[in-house]
Amino acid sequence: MTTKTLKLAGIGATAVAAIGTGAVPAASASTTHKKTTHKKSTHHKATQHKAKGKANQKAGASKVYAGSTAQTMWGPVGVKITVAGKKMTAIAISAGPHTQLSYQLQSQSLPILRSEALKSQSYKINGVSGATITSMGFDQSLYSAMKKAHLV
Amino acid sequence: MSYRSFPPRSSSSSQTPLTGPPSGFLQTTRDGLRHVEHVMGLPWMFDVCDTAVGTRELQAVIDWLHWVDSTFSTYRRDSQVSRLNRGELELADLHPDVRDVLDRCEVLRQQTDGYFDITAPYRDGNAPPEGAGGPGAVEPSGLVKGWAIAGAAARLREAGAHNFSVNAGGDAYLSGHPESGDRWRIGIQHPRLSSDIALTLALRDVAIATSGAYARGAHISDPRGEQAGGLLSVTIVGPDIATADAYATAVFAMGSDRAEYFCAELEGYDAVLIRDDDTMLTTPGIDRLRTDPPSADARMTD
Repeated sequence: MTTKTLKLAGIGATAVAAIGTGAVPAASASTTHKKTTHKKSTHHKATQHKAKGKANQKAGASKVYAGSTAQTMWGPVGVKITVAGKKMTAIAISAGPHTQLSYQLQSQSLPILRSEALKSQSYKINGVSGATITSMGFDQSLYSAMKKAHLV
Repeated sequence: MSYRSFPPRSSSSSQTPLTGPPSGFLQTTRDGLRHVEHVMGLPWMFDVCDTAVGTRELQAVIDWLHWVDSTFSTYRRDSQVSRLNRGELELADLHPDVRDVLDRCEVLRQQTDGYFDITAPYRDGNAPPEGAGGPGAVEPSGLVKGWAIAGAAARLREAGAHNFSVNAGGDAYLSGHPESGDRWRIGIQHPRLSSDIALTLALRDVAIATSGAYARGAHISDPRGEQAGGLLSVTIVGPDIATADAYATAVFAMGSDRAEYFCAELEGYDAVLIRDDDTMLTTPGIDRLRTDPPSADARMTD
């Protein structure tokens, strides 16, 4: 297992919310298959508990949160973070056999997504960005439907 | 404030819009001009705040957009892309701009691990609208729109404009500042409440693109044939509109879990992911662009 640990300073509590966004299996560095990332297996769970216990011992009152394993362009990646109080004190990246990934991620700080409840807001605006209603997309969909119906 | 008609379009511009405001409507204000033009089946909204650019300069930009449409559209039998798809043109015969766009599509396909793929629409026996395409038939419109927004912005800047926005059906480049205020305030459409805004960003010299399923059903299919979901919309903010647009398309297709990791690793681009559990994920850079304080609802997950 090639688990790398990064120390990130000054990241507050809001950073934590993004990783570990649901009840997903823990990151496992021993994932070798490429297409079964989100499969919940006892192996994953065992790894999670083991890592959690280890980190807890080390950091005292801190807690470890495991993110879901994700397929990236470098292979499967999982992240575990250690939180003490409301500060993230460490981030560990499990990158399976792709040691190059470990290196790449280690060499840069990983930006963290922040999660929050969606609230509708209303402000004075100059424009809107949204999913497009295009006549082209409509045409394409219509065309394929017509084709299936043998109309064209 | 006065209103007058924009000069009629040339006869080469033919695609009839199905939705949106009427084309050829020009509003001239004291400080600039506004215009909506339907090209590529999209409403293109120009808001030019500098007096340096008049209707003649804007018309030149619009003429160029119609050239782009006639060159790239798979809905035109004589476009270079249609001819390429029918095997009538070789790569070497293509206009340099077409080759440039196709090259960039390939780079983006690799960057997004196959989630942005211009050959995907014509797999499984689907043929391009104009003639049968082989297995390698391409639909580059996913990049052409952004590429054309960038081209229009560059042409406006060349004509002397500094403060303008070009918004093509919800994807936009914002240059300088609007008529009032020092940043363009752009609302990200609420995916469930069509007349509402989920988040407002204050933008300057940057591009914003949003992909989602709410506007016309699931219009983005996963090119890798997987069933990933969990996202209602993806907004990408960054320097290049074509890249931002392609990323938004790809990230939406990835589904929520994979999208989070992809966005966390993006360099130079920020993301707003709106998920189907009505939560929103943002990269740290978004905080600097928000016009409102982050919600107090942001809290740690356990």
